[in-house]
Amino acid sequence: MTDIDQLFAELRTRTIAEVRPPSVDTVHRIVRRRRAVRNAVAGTVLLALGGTGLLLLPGEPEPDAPDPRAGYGTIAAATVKLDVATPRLGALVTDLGDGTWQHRLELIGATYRTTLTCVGAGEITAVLTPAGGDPSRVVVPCTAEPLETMIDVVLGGDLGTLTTEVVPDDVAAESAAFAYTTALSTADQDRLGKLAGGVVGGVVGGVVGGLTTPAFVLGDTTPAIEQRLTGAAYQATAACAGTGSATFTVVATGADNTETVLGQTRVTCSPAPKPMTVTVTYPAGATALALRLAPEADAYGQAVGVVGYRPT
Amino acid sequence: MAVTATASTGAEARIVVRREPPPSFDEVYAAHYADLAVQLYAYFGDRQEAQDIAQEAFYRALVRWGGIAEYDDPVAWIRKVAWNLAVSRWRRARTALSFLRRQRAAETHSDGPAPDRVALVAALGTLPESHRRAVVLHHLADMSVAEIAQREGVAAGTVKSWLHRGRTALAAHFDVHDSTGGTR
Repeated sequence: MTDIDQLFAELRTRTIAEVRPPSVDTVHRIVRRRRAVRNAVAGTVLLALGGTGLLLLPGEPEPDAPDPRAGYGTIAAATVKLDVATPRLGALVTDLGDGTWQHRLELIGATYRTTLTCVGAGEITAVLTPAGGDPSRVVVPCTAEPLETMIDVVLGGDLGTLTTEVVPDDVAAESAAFAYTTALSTADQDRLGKLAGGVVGGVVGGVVGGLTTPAFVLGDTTPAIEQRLTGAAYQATAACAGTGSATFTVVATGADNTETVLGQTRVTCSPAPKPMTVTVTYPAGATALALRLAPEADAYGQAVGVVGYRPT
Repeated sequence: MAVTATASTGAEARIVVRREPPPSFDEVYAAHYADLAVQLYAYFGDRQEAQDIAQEAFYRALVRWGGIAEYDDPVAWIRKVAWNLAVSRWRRARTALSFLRRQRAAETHSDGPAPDRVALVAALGTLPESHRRAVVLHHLADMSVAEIAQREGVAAGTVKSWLHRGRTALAAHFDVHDSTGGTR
């Protein structure tokens, strides 16, 4: 054993001899007390939200009541428009009790707006750190009426990681739920939309009877052209600016509203997008043609698409 | 987990394994509270702060004890929570320097610890945060280099470097011998 080891051994031995652990009953009492506070907060939140099923009153804790943070989570997710089933560009946390929580997103280099909310009691400190950049720190109060806190972060390079770390205070760790979403800034949406729009316009633009959609961020909804057509053959084009990939589908709708896939192809989303064009023969009996561009998970929320067609 | 019986039928041998009953919260608390408080004391330089954090970590474990008791190493979970809390509180301090000054002053005037212990804790306080955390986790929490590397999200070589520099600085501070590098 070296002298350094000896020093640590002595530190441990002597300090342990002097540490007087609080009675374990103290810890059990803390659990009961905080649970009572949490339930009181839950009652307050329900009152604030005009809930009709209020059973708990402040000062009348119910030890076996369900954890109210599940309800807070529903409110928090709705506030920041997070799809809880597939939370791609964000997250929901209903138990911050581990002290710190961290989440990483792989994103295209751009400016992002992150919207955070915390429902319940206490406060959280959120630290957003773009790869290679300086962290941004914001304190978010956890309130009965959800508040939105927004913070803009610039992510350099082509691709990078945005790390979001949340540290709750002691109250929020037990009495709050937190949710956040990250979205491309409007300026970057416009920038990517112009890129994709220019590419599609270069193929179908200036042709009578053709059509191009406005640029759209690839997300849960699938923007599409739904157009009643009269010709026989068309060129359908899609382009996607950003990152990831998307599926481009051409669908014909019949008189009985049945849909037939006429063609489907993968489109790569890139900072320098390229057009993907398919030739479509309009089937007899069809009443409409639809062009759809749906994102894969890696393109969700960080790519902008445009689709268009022209008769040939 | 304990092997309680073996049975053999022809060429096939089976080992019957039965889990030992999970430890009770009270047992774990009694066995590990003081040790955890020592680790945090060495990190913070403030015994009361260390005990507060240790108690908070055990409280969080108790709330979830039904699940945590089933872990292979419930104490590791509690230690992780405690260190997360410790690091968070440390970062909340306005500056490490002013914090250290405050802690050292408070400890110097306390009438409990012996001078050499105060000196070691004070010397730890002069180390960079990552070095100090690595030294304390290694020497007081008995964590291996690999475990610390995983916890900190860095390469094992980085942890070895932190430990080496930390120990070298402490050895110089006390003018004592450190020939091993002391890493497992």
